[in-house]
Amino acid sequence: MKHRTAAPPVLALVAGLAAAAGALRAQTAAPTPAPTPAHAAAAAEAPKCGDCHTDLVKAFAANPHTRAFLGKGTVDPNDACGNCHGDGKKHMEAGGDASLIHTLKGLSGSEDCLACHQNTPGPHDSFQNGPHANSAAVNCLTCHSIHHAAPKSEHLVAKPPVELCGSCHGTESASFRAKPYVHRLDRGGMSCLDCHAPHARQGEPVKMTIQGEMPCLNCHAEKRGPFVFQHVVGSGGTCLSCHESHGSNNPNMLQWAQVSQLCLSCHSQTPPPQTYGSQPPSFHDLRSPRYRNCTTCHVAVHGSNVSPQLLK
Amino acid sequence: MRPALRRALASAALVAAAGAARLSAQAIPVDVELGYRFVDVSGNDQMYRTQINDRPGVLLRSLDYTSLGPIGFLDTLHVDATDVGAGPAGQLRLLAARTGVFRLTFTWRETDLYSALPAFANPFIDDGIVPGQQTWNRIRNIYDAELELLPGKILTPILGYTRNTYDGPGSTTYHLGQNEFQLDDQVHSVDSLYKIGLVFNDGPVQAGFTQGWREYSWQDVSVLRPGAGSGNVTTPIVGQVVTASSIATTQKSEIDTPVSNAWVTANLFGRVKLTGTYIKADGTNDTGFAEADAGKFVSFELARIFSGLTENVDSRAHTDYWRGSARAEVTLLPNVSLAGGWAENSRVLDGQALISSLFLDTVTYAGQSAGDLLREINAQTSVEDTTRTYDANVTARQLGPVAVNAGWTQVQQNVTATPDASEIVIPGGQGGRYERRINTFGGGATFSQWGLTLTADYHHDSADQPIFRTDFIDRDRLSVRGLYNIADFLKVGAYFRDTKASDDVVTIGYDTEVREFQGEFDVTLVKNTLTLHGAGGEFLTNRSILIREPQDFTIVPTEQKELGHNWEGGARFTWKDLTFDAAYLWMNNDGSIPFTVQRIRAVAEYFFTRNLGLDFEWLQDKYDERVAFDQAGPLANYNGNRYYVGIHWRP
Repeated sequence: MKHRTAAPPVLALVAGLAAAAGALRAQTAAPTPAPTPAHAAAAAEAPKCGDCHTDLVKAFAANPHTRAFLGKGTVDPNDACGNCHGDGKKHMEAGGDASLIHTLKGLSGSEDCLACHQNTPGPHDSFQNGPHANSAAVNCLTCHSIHHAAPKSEHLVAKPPVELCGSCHGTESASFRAKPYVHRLDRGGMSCLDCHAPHARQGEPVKMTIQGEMPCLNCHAEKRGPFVFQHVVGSGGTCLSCHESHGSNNPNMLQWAQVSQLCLSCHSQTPPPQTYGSQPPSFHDLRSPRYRNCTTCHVAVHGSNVSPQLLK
Repeated sequence: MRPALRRALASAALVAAAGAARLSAQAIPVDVELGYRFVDVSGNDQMYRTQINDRPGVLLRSLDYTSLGPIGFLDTLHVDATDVGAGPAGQLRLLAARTGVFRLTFTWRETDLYSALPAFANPFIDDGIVPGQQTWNRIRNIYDAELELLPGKILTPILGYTRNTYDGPGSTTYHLGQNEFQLDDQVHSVDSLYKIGLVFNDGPVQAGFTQGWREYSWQDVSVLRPGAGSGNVTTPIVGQVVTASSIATTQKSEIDTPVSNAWVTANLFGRVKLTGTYIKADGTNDTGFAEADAGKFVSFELARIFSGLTENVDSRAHTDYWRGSARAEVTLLPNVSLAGGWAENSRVLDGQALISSLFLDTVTYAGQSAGDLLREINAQTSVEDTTRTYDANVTARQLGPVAVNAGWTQVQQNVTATPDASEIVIPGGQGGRYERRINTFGGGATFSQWGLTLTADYHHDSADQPIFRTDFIDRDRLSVRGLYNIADFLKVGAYFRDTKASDDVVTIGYDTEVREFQGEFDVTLVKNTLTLHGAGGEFLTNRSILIREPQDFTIVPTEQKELGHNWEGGARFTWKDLTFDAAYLWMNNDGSIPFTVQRIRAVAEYFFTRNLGLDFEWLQDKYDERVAFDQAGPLANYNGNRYYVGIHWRP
């Protein structure tokens, strides 16, 4: 089978980027990290941070920031502290005076984070103008805790993601907790981050699949198609045309309690304007429960390869 | 992973943990919670499984291991697991890395999917027969592995593999000969994605390219359920009682989809960030279907009675899909940025199905034998779906305690559909070209100072015309949020969201409002000892639209109404080595499906040594549905109690 891919032009583009980057770097006021007073060597000579902050430093051995700053084979977390907190010499000499050490809090602390993390890791993220862009209300340290991250959570988030997101998105969180038909966020590690990208720029709140589709298909692969006889998805609609992803009071997380009403919302041809898929079902007598259960016959509502009427 | 294997693994982990507990003095960066869950359900057990599905058995509730130093070649090793064993969903993750050399991530996630809804696909709900006729009891396993080589260097090659399997039995229905029959079916599907990529990172310029190959296979084997030969319709149709003595279908699909994914970003002069993305994914689906049925059937289409059907279908669907975007973000002033971009995606579908149906021993309504009848359909379909988006927005992130943003988006949607004649029973709206343009204006502001955070967002969407009947012409979205924190003592939050969408065209009359409100508090009465929390709010949904009743083509309004209220409260108490956490939730919904949900969670943990604790958990989920049109009412009700007893080891 012949597969057409974008490989050749894209590879050529990537190859050309190296040269372009070099030239660009010469002209660009590069987004260099703000100067952090890294004094790992000085810190090593002085009394160790861990002499007082014993538990903190011990736990920091497992922190990714330790490995990022340290040389090969060196795993003394004391050496990493200065990279964010600066020279601790005066702080130590003053017997631990908190005013003599740089601490990272709130928005100003986040600016220190961005000194290294300014370049977002992909094309869809933006710390500049995303809904979670760095502001007084939401900044790096609102969600991330460098020293006290939640256990088993990635990226040093302060609380388990479901709890963390729910601390601002209260209505969505309550919907997941209370409604009877939901994605079970409290089971098997499923979290908001399976579908949502917290660093995304405006207008792109969901994580798309590698194929640029709704994240639903990462799990529900059998709904992807393509189908000979498409229905909704792939022909102008999305999963959310019929389903409620944040929890529903209706079976199968549908928008309507009665399936026939959901189907007839579209399939009810009325006078202009002409709308897509609006042909009405013939002779179906809704007074009979047989016909009110549309999917009893039209089982392949997500698309079919063998039945024009989605019967199998 | 098979249940037996899961149980064996969980049991082995239990034994290992118990042995390891004796080594409690040894400092190992591991945290394990392992135990057994008992389940007691009264009422509709199948509804409990549909909504909750916590199963009895050994449960590895939690495992966490993080290396504190190098382990051989690795300088990072992290393993964690959640809810492995009794189900219904478990996860295992592994991260192994050596800084600057490689980074390997692996995730396994398993989900038990169970559905036996009482009223869904159930024409006999009024007779008290449950569950409905479409059920499943399947398992989804997703394995995902990714290897980055030279992470953080200028060039980082990436290799990845994802496997998503979906297997298990179920029941479905099949409309044949003017009757519906319940079938037992067995599904097996595998979705595999292999990918290889390269990320380029040289300061101001970053780029990535990934080439993936997706292979998907689906097999569904269905046979007439024993005892279901009478079907749902037992009254004669044109004088014939329609019955089936055998129905057997097999459907196999193979889909190949190569995926190319590329992106590039460039930071210019510290003020401009340019981003481009491109995705190409062309999928081809080859399907074969075979069916053999016997019985007494009626076809209105053929105006005949027949005693068997042999059908074969060979079909191919091909989609050409691409998505591209270009975007610029410009920093006008410190913390003030302007962004704008274009994005477009296009999907062109071509489908063809050769449907060969042999109706056996046909007889006219008048009783004349007409022999076998062969019908051949060569169905051809096509759909072109293109969406183009332009947007521009300005963001001022740090005006003291205030941040504001405002923006405009225009979405242009074009759908051209050419259905096959065999799809059309009654003409109207199935084919043609449909266009729609939506303009969105909106913005938001946040204020954060003195522990108080206020946020408000408002967007107005205006469309020129609908494509589907449920597309809005006007939509307003409002979100308001307030949070107040007093040190570590008190947190109070209030959240409000309201979406109103409508199409006032007199023959459609579409109107929807979804309104949600929540208030919550969290108060620490004794620091590190006693915390109380509570929440409450309202969920409101009002949907209405005119529909055409198909039995007489009259146009009538139809409504979906939901009015839910929830109240929650709980306490967390910690004293020395004892932790107690309890919460109660109550939700009542009135409207199309009236019900009450009550949930109780009570957890106690006591560490009787420094490293070893005992865990007890009681969960109760109670669902009470009240009588409503076409719903299950009390037939759906259940009371599910789970009791978990386990050990918690944290050396």
